[in-house]
Amino acid sequence: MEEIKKTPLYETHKKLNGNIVDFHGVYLPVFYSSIQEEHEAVRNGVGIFDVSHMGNIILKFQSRDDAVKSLNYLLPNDYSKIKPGKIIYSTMLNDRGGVIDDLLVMSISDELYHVVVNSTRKDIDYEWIKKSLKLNDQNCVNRSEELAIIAVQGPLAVKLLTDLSYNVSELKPFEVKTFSYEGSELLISRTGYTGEDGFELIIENAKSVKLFEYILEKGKKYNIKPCGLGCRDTLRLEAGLPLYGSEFDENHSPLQTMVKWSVKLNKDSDFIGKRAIVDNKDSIYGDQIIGFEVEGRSIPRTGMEILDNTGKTIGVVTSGTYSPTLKKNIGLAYVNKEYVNSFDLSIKIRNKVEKIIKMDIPFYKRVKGA
Amino acid sequence: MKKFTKEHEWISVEGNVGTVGITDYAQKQLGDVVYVTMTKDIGSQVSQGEDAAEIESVKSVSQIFTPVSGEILEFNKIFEDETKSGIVNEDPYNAGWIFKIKISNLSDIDSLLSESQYNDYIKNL
Repeated sequence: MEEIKKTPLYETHKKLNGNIVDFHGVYLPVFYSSIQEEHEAVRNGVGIFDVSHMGNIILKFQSRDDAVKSLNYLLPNDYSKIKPGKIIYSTMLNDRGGVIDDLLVMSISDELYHVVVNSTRKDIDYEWIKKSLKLNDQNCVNRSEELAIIAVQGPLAVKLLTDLSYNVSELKPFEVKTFSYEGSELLISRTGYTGEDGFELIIENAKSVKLFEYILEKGKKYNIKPCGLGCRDTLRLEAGLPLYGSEFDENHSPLQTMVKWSVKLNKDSDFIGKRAIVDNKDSIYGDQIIGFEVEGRSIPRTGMEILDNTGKTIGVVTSGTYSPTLKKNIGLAYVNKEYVNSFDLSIKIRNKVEKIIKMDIPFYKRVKGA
Repeated sequence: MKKFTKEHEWISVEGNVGTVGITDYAQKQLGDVVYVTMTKDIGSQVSQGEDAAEIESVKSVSQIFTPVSGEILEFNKIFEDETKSGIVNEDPYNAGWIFKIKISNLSDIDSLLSESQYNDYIKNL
């Protein structure tokens, strides 16, 4: 059994009375006050999260051309138009077209790229990238243990960071810029995992506690709330954002999920996993993700079965929650693709069978410009 | 006087009727409760340790096991309005009680934890 890790903000979470759990080998708070209160803070005001468990992989290429060529081969999204300050999301596939991880590639300069990956996958990702692009320890660097990530999310996030003299209003969504904090490099991107406007701040571990507490202090006038993983999950689920280990795994292709838009089968270059997902489009990858609402009052949970109108199991729930914004019980499930458009599906919730109603993904969309 | 279980239920007894709820420790672990329902009908017989109700929080679902054997008498009507489910978080020992049970064997009570035993128990969790 490996030792459970602590992020540099562990003592801060304890001080803030965080309800701390072992989250895939890292101690992190599920909530501080209440999942619903924290959820609402992000939807209507601003919340701050420690997401330092996530991974940071730095890639150094010879030139912009080398970078574009490499990224276009490594990842199914199209990196032809990436340039310094831009961020492009993608999944990363194995040779069978299954998802190794999903990630953000941030272009710092023409040669330098900062990749943010999922906590549970960072070591696998690092080895995969190094091997696939034939990189070495100098031009592919795993900085996950040195860097902290703080997410500041919600419609008031832009005001708060502007108060701290970071001119973030000039950043568009999926843009990144290097600032500084107390003499250290501070990377701020207009990204997040909540479906709300917001930013993610990457800083060296040693400065992260002070920065987190500084933002929390300055955020008081906006009623900022420290937010845990619980509301991170309810927020991302409402926003229809996939989670590794739930909607993604190495046996499902991104074409079966809500991010099939990010697979560019028509881009100029070949990419790892392309052959497999093209060949298998109609066969083994027969399940598709759907979004649904439960008619009754029970909440769908991971692993529950989806049934057709004869009671036959035709799918399985990947994520489910009570949605604090919609006040509904919502979920995502892989269902056999022949049933994707069926109006007569049910869910087995312990000893009960409840009707489900198909819903569009995302369940929640923020009003832009609000 | 209340008695407790290691599954974090409490029961208070008057005559041969017990009132059952979940502890403050349990409500804190669950987080925001959004739905409480009986898994057994009013009037049905349940045995000690059997599930009788369930609580859905945003985070997870938990079964409520009856601390004693007996007949389910009543479900707290406040939970018929699901928007009031948060009463479990706000007042777990009073207004947030979940069900009443006619105790068939009062000696079941003896097998439960006292308040100080329960407090010692959760200290070590």
